[in-house]
Amino acid sequence: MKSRGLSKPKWHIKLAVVAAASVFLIAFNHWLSLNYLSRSLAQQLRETLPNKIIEAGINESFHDSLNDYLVKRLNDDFAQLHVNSAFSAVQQCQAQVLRIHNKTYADSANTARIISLHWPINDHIQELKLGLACQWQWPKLIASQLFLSLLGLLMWTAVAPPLSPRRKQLFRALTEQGVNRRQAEQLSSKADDYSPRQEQALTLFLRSNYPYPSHYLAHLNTGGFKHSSPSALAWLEFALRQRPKDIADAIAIAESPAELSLCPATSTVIVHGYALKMSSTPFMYYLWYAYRRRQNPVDGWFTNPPSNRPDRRADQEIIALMQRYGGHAKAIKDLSEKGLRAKTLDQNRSKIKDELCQLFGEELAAPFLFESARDPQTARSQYRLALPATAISIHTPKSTSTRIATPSN
Amino acid sequence: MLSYRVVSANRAVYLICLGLALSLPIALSVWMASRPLQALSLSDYRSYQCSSQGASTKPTFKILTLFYNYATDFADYLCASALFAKSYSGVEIRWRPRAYLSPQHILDEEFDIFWNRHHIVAGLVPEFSNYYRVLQQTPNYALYWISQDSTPQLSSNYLQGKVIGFSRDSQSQTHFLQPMAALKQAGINLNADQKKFYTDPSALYAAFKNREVDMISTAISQADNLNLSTYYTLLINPEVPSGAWFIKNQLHHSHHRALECEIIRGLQVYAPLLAPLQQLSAQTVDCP
Repeated sequence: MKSRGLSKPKWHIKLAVVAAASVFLIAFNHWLSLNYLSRSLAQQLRETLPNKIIEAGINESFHDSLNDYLVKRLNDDFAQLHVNSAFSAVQQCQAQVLRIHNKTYADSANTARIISLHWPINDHIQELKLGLACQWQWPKLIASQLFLSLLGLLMWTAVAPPLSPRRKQLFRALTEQGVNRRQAEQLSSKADDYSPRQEQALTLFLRSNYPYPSHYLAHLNTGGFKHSSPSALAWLEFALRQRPKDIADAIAIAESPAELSLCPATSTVIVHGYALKMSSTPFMYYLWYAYRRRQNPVDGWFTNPPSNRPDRRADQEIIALMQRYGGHAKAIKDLSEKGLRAKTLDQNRSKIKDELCQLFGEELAAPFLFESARDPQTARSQYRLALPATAISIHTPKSTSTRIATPSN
Repeated sequence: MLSYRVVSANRAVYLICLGLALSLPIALSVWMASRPLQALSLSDYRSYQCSSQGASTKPTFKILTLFYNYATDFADYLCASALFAKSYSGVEIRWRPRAYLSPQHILDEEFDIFWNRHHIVAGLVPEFSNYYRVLQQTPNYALYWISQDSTPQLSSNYLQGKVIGFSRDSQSQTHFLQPMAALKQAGINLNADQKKFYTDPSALYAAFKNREVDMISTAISQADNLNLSTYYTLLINPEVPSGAWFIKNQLHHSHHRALECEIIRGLQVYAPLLAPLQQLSAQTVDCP
């Protein structure tokens, strides 16, 4: 029941997804944090710093040395900037003055973000440029974003898409059977992908009320009935009716080739995998037609003898078969006295049809019955088994010969 | 991964759950990234402090002056002085607009020494001599109009279309009171667009150099520092009193003579500013 082959790649994919998501989140958090901190600092400074700078320059005739002094004082004030929260992965930041009063003090080489403050004064716009740099607690950053990725993955896998009505039905049937939830989900998960044939098969299975749906679902999930013919499904329906408790057997019958097998020893025919014991005399005639078809794969026709002249050669073949495999004495006597008459053949073929149709129904039985034609030479009817020679087998206990033994010949 | 999965009721719920699985980690990451900076407290950039060798139990020597230039040098000189360390643990010097000095400062003797103009101090507290005395007068200076283009004239004709630069500080003799008085005396009434005001002399000089204003009032020594190729002058006042350093009476006693002299020596740092002014600083103390 465990799909071993499928779980391994899935695990790898999940790991790759978590890794990729973590990398993305780390980069995203890093980028966003710097943006936010620089904005936060700018906002704090914007209100008070310009005034403080203007006030420091009061009464000053030349700003040069004052600029140097201001830069030193500002850098001291910005040397240690902290984030107020334990949840931030930023350890510490610092800002330094890059440019003030049109004089450059540092380049932006080591800065992650540049903060620009402007204020209008004395008919000009004064600019202060600060460079922000931060140190990170990398273990915290990596661990936290990894955790978030895992959280996302957990949430993603915790929710299953809504089940189709079919899958809901199967899931319920499986859990009622006693299958655990995980297996039930697994088994019913393929139901939406069934081919039309598999759908039909599933419908038949469900209708049969077989108490262990896991059995036939396992078969369907491994591709059973995917491209089967309509006749196979018809056989499945028949087999489920006949073998409601043995699903493996029912499946075997449905998937059996359209072959006919005759077992003279037990007077049994196996039609499409299903064994049927027949009455002795009709069986013998069935057997004889089978032999004829096998010996003449291309042809195999036997023209009914004319009503006024029964066949005195073919009857020997049939008698031999009857003698060999325990046919009725009356039938043997009838043949030897009167020879093989068209009436006998017609009657027996009719009986064969009855026996098969009674069990299988006309549709299923048809391919295993007879086809007729008109003999061009004699204008009489001729018959043969409808199946090709390769689809017919005869189980003889001792000899492997497929020829009909006849006393003469 | 899980042995048990929640089956969603319908497609919409399923998609919402998936959306949540995607968006929740992102949202949490965004939240993490939006933790604000701790409130930053900016220090006072209009003051400077240094420590002397003196014990921290001793008081701080407090100085009030007008501008930054040489202020740190002055403070550093005093901090380095061994004599000073005997009485003080350190120096704090601050520079403020002229209007900062208040009567309360004088009455409380808030500052050990401060610089300002005599008439301002007298105006604040007429009996200021109960609290402060003059330590050293800074020299008078000659004040001129200067222009880059032509000799300044105080006539409506000349001044038409011209802009004069002033200081925003209405207590400034050099850049406000003297020039305004001169214009009034000459009977000139400037329009609003003929007057521009600047927060500090540095901005005023820059505006003058850039020809944003045509005329300003200044001392020649300052004008020379502007490095102009040529400029024209008109005298406003040959003797503008600059001001004086006032010292707390408590310090102005004979047994504090050495301290006073040390302070005067410290005031020498301002020499480069005052040297161009012809008169020497007059001090009221005899020092070696």
